[in-house]
Amino acid sequence: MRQIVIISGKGGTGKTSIAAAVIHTASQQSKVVSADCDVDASDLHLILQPEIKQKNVFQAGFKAQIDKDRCTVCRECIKVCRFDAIFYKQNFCTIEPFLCEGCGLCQISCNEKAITIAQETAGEWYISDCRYGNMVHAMLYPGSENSGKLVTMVRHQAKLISEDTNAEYIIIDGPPGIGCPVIASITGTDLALAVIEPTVSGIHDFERIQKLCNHFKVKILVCINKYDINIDITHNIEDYCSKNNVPVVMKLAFSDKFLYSQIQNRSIIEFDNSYSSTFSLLWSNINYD
Amino acid sequence: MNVLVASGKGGTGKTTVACNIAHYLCKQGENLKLFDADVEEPNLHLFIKGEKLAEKPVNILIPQVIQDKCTHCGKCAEVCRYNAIAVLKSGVLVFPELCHSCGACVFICPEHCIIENNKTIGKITYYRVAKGLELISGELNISEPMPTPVIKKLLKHTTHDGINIIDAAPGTGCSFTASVYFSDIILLVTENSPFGLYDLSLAYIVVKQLNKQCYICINKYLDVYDGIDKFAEKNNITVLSRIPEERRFAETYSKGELLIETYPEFEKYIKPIAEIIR
Repeated sequence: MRQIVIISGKGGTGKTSIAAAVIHTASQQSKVVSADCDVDASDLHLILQPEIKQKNVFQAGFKAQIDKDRCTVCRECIKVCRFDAIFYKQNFCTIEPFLCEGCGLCQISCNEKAITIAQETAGEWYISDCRYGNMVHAMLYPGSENSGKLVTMVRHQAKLISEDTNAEYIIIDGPPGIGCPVIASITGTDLALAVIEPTVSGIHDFERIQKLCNHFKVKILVCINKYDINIDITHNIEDYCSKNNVPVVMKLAFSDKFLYSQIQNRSIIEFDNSYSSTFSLLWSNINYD
Repeated sequence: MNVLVASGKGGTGKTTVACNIAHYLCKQGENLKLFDADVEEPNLHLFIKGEKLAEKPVNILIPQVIQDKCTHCGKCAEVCRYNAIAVLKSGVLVFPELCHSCGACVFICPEHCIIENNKTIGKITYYRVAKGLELISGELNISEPMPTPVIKKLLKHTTHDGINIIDAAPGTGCSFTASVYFSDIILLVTENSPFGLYDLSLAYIVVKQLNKQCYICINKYLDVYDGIDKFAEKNNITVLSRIPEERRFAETYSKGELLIETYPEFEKYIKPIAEIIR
């Protein structure tokens, strides 16, 4: 079983549209499990239209609460909290849940035992069926922490399903950026496909995600999306990639067809079959590597 | 006043909108500071070029156990809610990438044998752009997992009496939430697509929970989809601007040029937003 992750560094370069097309192509020939690891802004389900078979609660992280009846307003908790999450307001000590990281230092420093720490429900994850096979996806509740842990859960479940069903591939739609959820999405995968756009910010962000992949020893391939909006930068990306031994395996032209296919909840290949050969070639390249 | 330019979905045009507003307001004689809080992939400095004034590291505190004083009682590992400390017979292991620098282990250690050392996880860079315009950019080091300490440190530089424009990270997780918390007005920049709508609706949940004033700017607007307009109407959010999807805008952006400089008529998409801020 191989795990292939689609990433980008910069957001909005076309990761999800390309992931859906890769899943479409792969599923024509092989058994595939799709995993959406962009857990705090997931969009793959809008194209794959999964039917949820199993819904699970994701518990992670903690938040502190103060029992006002026990609190003597000594303010020791305010002093020790390093996240500035406790305030003195209207004669009470109050915890701001959006700043609390649930470390529990306030609890152990409170002489009155007025503080309790409760586990949070930070999201949900789902096992679903879609027209391309099994899918694992999730929703981090907006504003919650622990996106990295939820990514790890999605990947773990995808792996279990792939083992149960003898799937040959797990195809992962990754999050933007280089932080915790991205690290959780790429570690231990066989290959990362980076979707880059030829813009000054696109190339800047690509260099950072490429270094991250190097750091975690994940092999990287490149797809340049909207390559024709700036041919000069496309050439620069190609030069940079050839110097760094990164294969550029696909170039896609700027097109509003991606928007129209999205509006119809279809992958770009289902919308316009002329993309089929481009993605078949990409898929052979992915398998060759 | 802190104005956050945010989106939920990535690549909707946050950076474009933030730097064009800043350029417009600066030309109107306003004093302002521009913040890049997309610390995983900061890009504002590519579009707003300034003279670099200073660069300061962002440090977090990581515990270190003085092994010969340690009795291996295990209290530090027990108290750590991030599983960042493991006590073995041979010694105590600290996993810096899991540590939130909360200090609970230091507090609990009966032998007082845990000290803390600085670890650099990112940096803040200060640029002078023009008279009345400064750019302050946060950057997370590659392979560091936690962006929020960089964002919190960055946003300590906002001024109380002036205008602060903050470019947020995409997503609806901890980076985004930290930025929303420290802002007064949230401008949600979305693209006119189903992906844009879904992520906008998630971002709006956070904005609403924190009870912030909120506006929408629709970017890459093609009159073939009405999901965003319906969402705005249903939730009673004013759509301040609809920037059309035009290939020339994408080309200009790709070169790192400001749309408002290249196309003077672009001002009509920026002015309604800037006027609300003023």
